Amino acid sequence: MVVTHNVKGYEEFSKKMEELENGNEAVHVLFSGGKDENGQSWCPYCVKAEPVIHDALKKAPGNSHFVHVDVGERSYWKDLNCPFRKDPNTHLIFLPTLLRWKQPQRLDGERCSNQDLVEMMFEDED
Amino acid sequence: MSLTLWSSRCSVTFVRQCSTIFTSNFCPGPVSVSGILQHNSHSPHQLLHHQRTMSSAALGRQDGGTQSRGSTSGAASGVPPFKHPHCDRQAMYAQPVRQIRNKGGSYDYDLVVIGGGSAGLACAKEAVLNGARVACLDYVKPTPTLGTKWGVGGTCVNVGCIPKKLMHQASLLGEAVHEAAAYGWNVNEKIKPDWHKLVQSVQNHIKSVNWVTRVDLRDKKVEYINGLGSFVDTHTLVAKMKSGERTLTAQTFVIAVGGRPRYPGIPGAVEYGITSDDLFSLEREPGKTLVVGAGYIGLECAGFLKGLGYEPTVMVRSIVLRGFDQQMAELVASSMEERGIPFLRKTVPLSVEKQDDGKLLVKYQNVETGEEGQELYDTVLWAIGRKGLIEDLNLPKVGVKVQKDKIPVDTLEATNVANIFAVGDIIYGKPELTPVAILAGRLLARRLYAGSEQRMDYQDVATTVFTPLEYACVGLSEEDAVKKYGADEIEVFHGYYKPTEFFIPQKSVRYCYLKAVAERHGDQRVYGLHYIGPVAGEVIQGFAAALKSGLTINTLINTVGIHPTTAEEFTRLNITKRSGADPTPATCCS
Repeated sequence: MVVTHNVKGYEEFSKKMEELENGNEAVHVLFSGGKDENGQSWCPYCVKAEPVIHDALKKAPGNSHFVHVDVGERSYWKDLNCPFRKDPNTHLIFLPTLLRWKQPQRLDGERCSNQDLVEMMFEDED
Repeated sequence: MSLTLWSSRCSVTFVRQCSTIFTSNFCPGPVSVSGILQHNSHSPHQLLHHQRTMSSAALGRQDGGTQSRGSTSGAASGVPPFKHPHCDRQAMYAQPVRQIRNKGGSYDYDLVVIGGGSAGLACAKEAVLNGARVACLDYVKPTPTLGTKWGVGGTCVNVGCIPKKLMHQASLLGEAVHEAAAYGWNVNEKIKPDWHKLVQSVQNHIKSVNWVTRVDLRDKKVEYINGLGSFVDTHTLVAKMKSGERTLTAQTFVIAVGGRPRYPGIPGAVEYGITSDDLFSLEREPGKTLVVGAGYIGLECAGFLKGLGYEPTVMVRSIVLRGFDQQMAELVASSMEERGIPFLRKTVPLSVEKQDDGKLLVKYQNVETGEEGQELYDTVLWAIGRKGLIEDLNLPKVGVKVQKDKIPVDTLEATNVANIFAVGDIIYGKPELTPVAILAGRLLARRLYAGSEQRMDYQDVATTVFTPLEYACVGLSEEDAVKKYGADEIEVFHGYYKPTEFFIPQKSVRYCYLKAVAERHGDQRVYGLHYIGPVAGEVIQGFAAALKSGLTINTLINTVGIHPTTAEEFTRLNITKRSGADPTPATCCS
């Protein structure tokens, strides 16, 4: 069973990754826009991608980790100095972005809601 | 004979054009109609030109048009089939494109592409875009020495242009840091390269390109099969995969398997030598390296190894940069020697032995004097040429003709077997370049599935050799121009130049040289342009478009340059070789 983690903001994210990156298991990370009190994200593609990704998660290796990162509010993300954009391990440009931590696999924007591609990412062996 | 052939072809083509236009949904408008009316008075060349314009317009048509076109191809069946594809250029380009029923047959796929490199991927993606059901096979056999293997994308992405350019860039950056001091930067510490970090960065980039390629294939609905293809019959292929075998049937096959480096047949070659397939992912520092071969791959590898601080030596059997303009080739070699890369001329390797300390003892011989010698190296790199990967395809089974280790094709990239085509490095006698492969692959798919008639033009393809001082060219070499037109009909404009940015760091300008090979009389049409200097590819690319558009010396020298650049030197060419005048510039700004 894939272990799911939910983190909010850059600090929680960094701490979580430090904790997970020493393991041998694949770590998939989804970055998406923060949600309001009604659980609604300001980022429309994130809204579209979330169910697709959660559904496809069953294709991921059983011992792998899935980290859902709530990047924060729109204004925070739109700031070009946002730490998520500056981090050399993320180099985030688009939301949502789904990636395998420190590996080449990466999908962004509308491709995150393409079931075929998301499953390919979770199943990819390299 | 040829005249009658011409007229019959013209009339057939004319019928085809008319029927296409009048039966399709595409509305040609008055311009196209007037174009047709002029046909009878047109020379074949102009007709061809018109065809090309029409076919690009026809690309916008709906499927109904393809049907009607298919039926008219019956009218063209009186045209004699291809027999000697390379003997008569004009005639072969006048041949109508054969239209066969390519889609929706009872096979598993409309198209199976064997090879997921530049040619294969471009062809597969374009075919899908035009409604074909496509599978693309890709398989990399590990190298014999180190077992190096890689992902989808072919030579260019994994072990060719991309890693080569990145390592060349790394080498240029090292050079730039040294120059920076002269420009007032405080470069305090002695800089040194980190091979492992470089390899890691290069490989990371390649892996992300591999991933993007696979996403792209999945997104475009090209089925990617990681298997080695082998023909069973003309419509059946077996894919050998890690998980077993799979049989695929297809209406059409495209062979785009490319090539791999050759090894010499000497003791120790395979056991101890590596090739460009291994170099870009080499886990240890290359150290003192013997590069055997002075084609562009050998020179480029030797160039960046030197720039990264290793000690390469280039062993040359006969000539440097075979196939390139030899004056330029020798200047490139000299510029490398000036940088401290020794060239062992007229020399062939005899054997490679591994010493107890891991060093490689290479014995070699001068082919002219017979004199033998030996030397210790950390790495021996074979860059003696590449061979086509026809072996695993089981071509004899389907009767596809081969020439040496390549596959000859006609101007439609068709092999001698009707439903089997070939593109990219595997085809015989064409430039082995990624952009050539991509365009040829794409055009082939458009002819097969979009009713296009446009063929690949393999002439006047620009290219660059990424040696420390780069060399780029387009069109004919001086010797080819002389061979084709005669020495009396050729004028060569040439000159040495001094790049502005070379002065402050006092870089050598001795080999910064360029020339234009042109028609001597009349319009003085430019046949070839050659340039040695910084950013050669960037300089030549635009001129390639000019040359393809019929550039003349008059246009060239009446083009205003961009100052201060090195590309502007082309607009300043005024000394002919024939005049015997000194081609070196008098002062910096003359």
